[in-house]
Amino acid sequence: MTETPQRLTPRDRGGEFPLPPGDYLLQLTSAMRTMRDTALDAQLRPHGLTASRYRVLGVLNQFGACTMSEMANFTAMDRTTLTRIADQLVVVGWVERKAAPKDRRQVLLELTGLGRNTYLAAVKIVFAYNKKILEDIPEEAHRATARVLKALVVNLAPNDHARDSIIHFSREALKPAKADKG
Amino acid sequence: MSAPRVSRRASVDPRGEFPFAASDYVLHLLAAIAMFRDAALDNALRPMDLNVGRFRTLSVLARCGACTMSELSSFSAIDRTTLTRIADQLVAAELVVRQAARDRRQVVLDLTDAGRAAHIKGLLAVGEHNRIVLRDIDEADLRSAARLVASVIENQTDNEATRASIIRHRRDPA
Repeated sequence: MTETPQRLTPRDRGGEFPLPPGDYLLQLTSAMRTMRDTALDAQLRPHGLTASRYRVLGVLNQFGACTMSEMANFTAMDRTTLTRIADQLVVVGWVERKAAPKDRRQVLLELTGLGRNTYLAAVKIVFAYNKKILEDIPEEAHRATARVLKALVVNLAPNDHARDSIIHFSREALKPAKADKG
Repeated sequence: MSAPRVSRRASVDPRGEFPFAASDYVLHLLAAIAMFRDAALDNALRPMDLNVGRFRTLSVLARCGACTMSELSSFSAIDRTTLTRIADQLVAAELVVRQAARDRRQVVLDLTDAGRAAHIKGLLAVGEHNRIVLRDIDEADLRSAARLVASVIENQTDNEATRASIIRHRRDPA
């Protein structure tokens, strides 16, 4: 018998969703991210930012100077995309590259004063957008969902550092990283 | 000169369970999950000459039937610029065809037989990936999380066609 998309796509046994709950959650997550990035790209454009550039500035604001590996782990972005974004941010003067004090071979990214001002202008826009899309969702629902999403990150992250960086979003919670050439 | 950091004190979890407020943490985790998953699916779909964007576009056409570019953009939530590039790639690969709609004034995109076959292969790869990612997570918890993300999407757009397609997998908002 020829396989059809209908036969290959399982249904939700509970009848609540068009797909089984897990598949549906993953599909919604992708759609939500696309919609959020598209909306934020449009709102941040007057500031010369995109959602991705904003994330990089946010990590540098939070953690100070970062290697490219740290940045990849804290943003969940692939290195190719991240290198392109870092190049763009350096060109406009919002980020600078410098050698690490303890290891001159290691390259760090660091926020400039101009980059911080840009980030501060953007953060208000992003927080306002987040508030709008999270409207009327109870705190306990967020907490329960965050626990489920943490489990998904554990199953999805490409390595332990990427997993812990996203879940803890803290340098202190991470084990000492191996030498990084940036 | 480097800039002093600005505290994220605006977002704190008062119970200390999460690194910042639960609502912000949910968005942080959702963004990371989407990026991890897209990277993994791009790898899984590459042998089929597909990527996440192309697969999602094929999925919408399989689910909704022939669409204009405007409909496809609404149903997929992919912006028109990106969608035009994806559509061009799918047409060049003969997975999708552009043809005149019934009223002849509009152009619609539709799956070819090769496009339907590629979509089915993609579905199998995505299904296998999902099984691995969802292992050991309770169905009731996944159900609750899906309800929350669906609510967020409802809040993200006033476009009823987008809501119907993404949340209910229906072509019509009714």
